[in-house]
Amino acid sequence: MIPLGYFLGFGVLLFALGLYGVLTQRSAIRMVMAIELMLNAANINFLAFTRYLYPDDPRGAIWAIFVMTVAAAEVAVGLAVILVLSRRRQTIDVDAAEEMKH
Amino acid sequence: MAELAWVAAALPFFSFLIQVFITGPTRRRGDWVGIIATAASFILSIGVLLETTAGVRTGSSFLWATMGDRTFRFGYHVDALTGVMLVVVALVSLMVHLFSLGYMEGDVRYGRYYTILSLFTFSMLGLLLADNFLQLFVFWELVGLCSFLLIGHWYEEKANSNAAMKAFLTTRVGDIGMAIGIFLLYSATGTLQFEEVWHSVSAGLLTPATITAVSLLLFAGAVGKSAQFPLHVWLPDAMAGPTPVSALIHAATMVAAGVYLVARSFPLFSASPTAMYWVAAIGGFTAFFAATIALVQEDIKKVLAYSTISQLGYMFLGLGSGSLVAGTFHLMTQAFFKSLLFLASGSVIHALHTQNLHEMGGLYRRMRWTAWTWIIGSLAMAGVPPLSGFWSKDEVLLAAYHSGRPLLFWLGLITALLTAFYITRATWLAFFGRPRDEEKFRHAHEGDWRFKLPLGVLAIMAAFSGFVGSSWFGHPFTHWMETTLPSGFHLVELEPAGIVQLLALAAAVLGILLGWLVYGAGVVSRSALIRAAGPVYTLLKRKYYLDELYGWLFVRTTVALSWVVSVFDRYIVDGIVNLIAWFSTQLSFATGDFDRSVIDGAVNGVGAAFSAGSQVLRRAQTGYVGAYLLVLLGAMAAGLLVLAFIVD
Amino acid sequence: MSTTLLVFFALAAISLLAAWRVVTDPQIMHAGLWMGLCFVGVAGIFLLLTAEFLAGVQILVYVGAITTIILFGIMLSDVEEVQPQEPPFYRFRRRFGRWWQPALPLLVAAAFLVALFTIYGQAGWSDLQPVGPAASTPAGLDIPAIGHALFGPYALPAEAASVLLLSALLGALVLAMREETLRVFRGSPGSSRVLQPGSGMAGREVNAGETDHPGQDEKKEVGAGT
Repeated sequence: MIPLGYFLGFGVLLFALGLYGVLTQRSAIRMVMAIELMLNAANINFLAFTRYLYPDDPRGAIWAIFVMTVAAAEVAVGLAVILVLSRRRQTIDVDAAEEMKH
Repeated sequence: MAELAWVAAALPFFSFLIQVFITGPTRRRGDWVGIIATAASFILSIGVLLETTAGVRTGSSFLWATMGDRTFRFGYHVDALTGVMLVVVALVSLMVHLFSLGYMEGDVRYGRYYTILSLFTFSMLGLLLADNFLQLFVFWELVGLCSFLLIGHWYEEKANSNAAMKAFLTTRVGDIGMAIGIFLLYSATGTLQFEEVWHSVSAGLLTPATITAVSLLLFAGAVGKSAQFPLHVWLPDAMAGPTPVSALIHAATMVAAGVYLVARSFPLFSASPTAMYWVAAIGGFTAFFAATIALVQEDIKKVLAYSTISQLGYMFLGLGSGSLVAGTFHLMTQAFFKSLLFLASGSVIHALHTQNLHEMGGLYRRMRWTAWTWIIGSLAMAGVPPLSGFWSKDEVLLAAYHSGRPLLFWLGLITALLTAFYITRATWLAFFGRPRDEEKFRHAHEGDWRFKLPLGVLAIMAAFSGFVGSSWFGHPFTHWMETTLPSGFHLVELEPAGIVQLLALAAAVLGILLGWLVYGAGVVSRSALIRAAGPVYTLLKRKYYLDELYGWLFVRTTVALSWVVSVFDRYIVDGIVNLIAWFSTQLSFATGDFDRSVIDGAVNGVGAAFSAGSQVLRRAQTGYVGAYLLVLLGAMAAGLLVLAFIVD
Repeated sequence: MSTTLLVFFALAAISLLAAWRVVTDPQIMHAGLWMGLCFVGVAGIFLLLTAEFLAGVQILVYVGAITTIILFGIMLSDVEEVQPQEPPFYRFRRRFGRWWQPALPLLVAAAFLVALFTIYGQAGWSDLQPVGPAASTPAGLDIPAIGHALFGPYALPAEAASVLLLSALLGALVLAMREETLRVFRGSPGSSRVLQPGSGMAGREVNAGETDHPGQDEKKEVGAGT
């Protein structure tokens, strides 16, 4: 049987990739994608811990479902914002939205 | 009724919700919702006061959050101190709601204004009802937010939004201390419930050092919120907000929250002589310090602002001298007479459209009602018997007299004299003498009931509220406060001292007399006075150069730091090229017009270095999302590394 | 090496490769598709964890909905990808102008990796085997158990989540609506000054008659502001 560490390691790697993506991307859509990767990594941890440490507790699965719900809401609103940004700025470079800088 | 105390806070909250979601930001439909809610709160508060002063103490809480075996509760607690404060806040808030009907009429963001007033009333009442430090802190920040929003009400003008930010950031300095204090308290006692904390203090579960540290850290929060030296700089600027707001937030209620915090934590503070000493010292010094600045202010609201700082210092002086009664009693009377003075000044400003005292004068003939209420307020503040200020000031001075710190007592006494002097000056410049601006004077007129009613009610309170603590009626206020202390704590009975009363009275009368001599009778020429005072006058006029000092201190260090960074950047990273350039510059210095080159070059070089340096530091605020994320996640990663390798 | 372990490594390799391409693929459309593949791989991992229900939801929500929305977003936003051909290091250098700064994101990500691996190791989780029979679903991941929990003790949070989804739906609609459509809802532009929630990030007051070319207005504003 696969030890817990393998799942956790996979989650960490996925998370780190997402993290690297968020930090290096300027495109807002790309950033949203990278954030989704990180959320997936978190879900893997929830389920792995449920499977290995708390097999009788449904809370891990419930958490994962809520993460997915929030992710869906986030993507919907985030993309609407990106859409408005692209309409007004003709770009989706997050650094173009800088009115609050001054 | 006392069990329903939480409803008093809930009502303004519902009014806030109604105004946000139903009546909208610009229409003037929400104002009556707020007024009705606040009036209901006020009636409830009176019920609570009547019960608590009869000795009822009650409260309840529910489990708010559990983290492992740690729990946080959310609830309310009422005793006589809460009762008094509830009545003060609800009454002043109600009066300000009514006054704003006229004052804010036709404002662009009328609805928003009333919405935030409701939010503020809710937050302030919630702060008073809190039964633990965490909840208190939450509401503490909420009132700070409301203050920020209302100072910046007319945010189109840069100065106003700057003032709002200054207020927010300056109080934040104190709030950080307060937050650390709360953390420390929690780690030492494992609870934040007031009752349990007092219990562990009286049971001796805390070391004296911890008590002192927690008290001083909490006091840092109070210093920020109550605008005490050295964090007082935000309050005068906060006058940029609408005047009724200044009356409510920046005179009567929010700024008094710091005093309330110390009064509420009195069992904690009184266990630490060091903390008490600092409370008294900062209070006494601030009282004197702010009163001297108030002497020379030209803006009627600034006079009142510095006077508020000074009176708040008085309250801390009373508390720090070991008298819970003195501090809270003065807090109550000050709330009434200072909000009265602010509303009266608002009435004047509304009539004249100026805040400059030198453009006023002779208004007594035009605005009898405002003038009389103002005079009542100013006499109360000066400490003329039998008005409210006399009794409470007397109590504070008595406490200082008995505390064995003669310097602080004399400082308080001199402050009383200065207070009487500057308020007489303001009264005379505004309401008597010859009108100095005929054009404005001709248009001045008394407002309608929306102005008169709040002024009248507050004048009555300013005149008579002092009797609750007066010896004529057997000090009922003292007995109320007695009931608020947990078991194991006792109020120190203060021996009445005739000499103190006499001196206080003399200071008040002397101050008024001097003020009248200079500004009324003109016995002493003002310009001669200013000439004689010379540098002192300038020093006061510039508010002891503190704003300049802070600007210099923080801006200069930032720039100096950035200069170091830029030097590193330019001379080490980009190295040789700049070195050669530097040499050639030196050479040209030697060969060229030496004098001009050296001087100009040095000046320009320093300037260029500074601007280049600030360019470097500005990069920290890039406005780039990626850079912010990088810092955020980098800090998180660093924390995780600490967790992984250092903490087991 | 057992079959399950082989399957795990295959799924993990596919997912990680896809995730790497999401971050690096110069074509944003391809990146979106790679993301879908990565989600499928993660769904497979969920299956290995005996979380069948979650695996199904993962396919439905992430692969079916989120990936599709993002692909639509890419197509609708109708703009060139930001510097598609630039290598990430160069991009960072141009952005911050310091030679050491390109390494920072890598450093942060690596720090997360090292820290989390260390913590997991210290907790003794690396070689932990599941309790109970290997192949059967534990009670906590059982579909009836999840259903009972979701509509029993967690009913209120579940309802709150549905409200959140509804408001996100409405919010996204209002945000993304074109100004002309919004004006229809708002009625005729009677007063000359209206607040424009749909017109974007700033929400500033604009004269209602002057918004025909928002892009041009904005460029001027930005130029003046910086």
